[in-house]
Amino acid sequence: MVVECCGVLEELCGGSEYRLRLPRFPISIAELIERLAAEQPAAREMLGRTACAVGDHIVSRERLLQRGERLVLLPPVSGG
Amino acid sequence: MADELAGCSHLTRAPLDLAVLLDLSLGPEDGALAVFGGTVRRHNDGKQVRAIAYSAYAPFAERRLQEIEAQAVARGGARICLVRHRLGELSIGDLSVLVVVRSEHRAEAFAAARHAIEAIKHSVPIWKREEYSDGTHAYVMGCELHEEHHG
Repeated sequence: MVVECCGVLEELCGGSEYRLRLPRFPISIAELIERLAAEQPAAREMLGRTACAVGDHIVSRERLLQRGERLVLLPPVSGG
Repeated sequence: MADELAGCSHLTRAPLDLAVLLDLSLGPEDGALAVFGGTVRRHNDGKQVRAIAYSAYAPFAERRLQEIEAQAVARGGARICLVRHRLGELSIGDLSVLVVVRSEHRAEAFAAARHAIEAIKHSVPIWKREEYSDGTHAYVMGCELHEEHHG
């Protein structure tokens, strides 16, 4: 599954798109993030402060992701 | 990147144009005009800033900016609020964000403009990466997004 990494997560995860191999679908966002943090420990702390979006809406970490959905990771924002 | 901003009217890589927003918002019943602009500052946290690179999660940011315009009018009592945010690498002094509000009286214009810029800073998925004169860079750690922010 491809996870879109925004802002500082692009640097911490090594690119704007991160390919994560998942054992099954559906899978909770919480579990996906834990797997990502295990693979990219430098990003773990920031992932704890990160909101998750599917499309143009923020979703909770309890939400289940289906195959083909795209998760977007939104670290703390700093527009203006 | 051009594709990323397709359909976005509130996000642009081009320089922001205040005159266009003043013209777009003009109305004969308004007695007040409030403008807020954010510009790139040469220093932050004791470091010499050379430039700031702005990035966004465009579909979400575009929707939020449209919502902020509507909320600023509804909450502040202004007649119209227009906001625009620039993306890409900006130099010192460049405009990064513009808020233009018109209303019958000044109190509503100030209130709506303040509401809009605070909402932009707290709830729009835009990130700034400061480029320093010593060759290093750092993302500015701002506000965490929460579910309730998307309205």
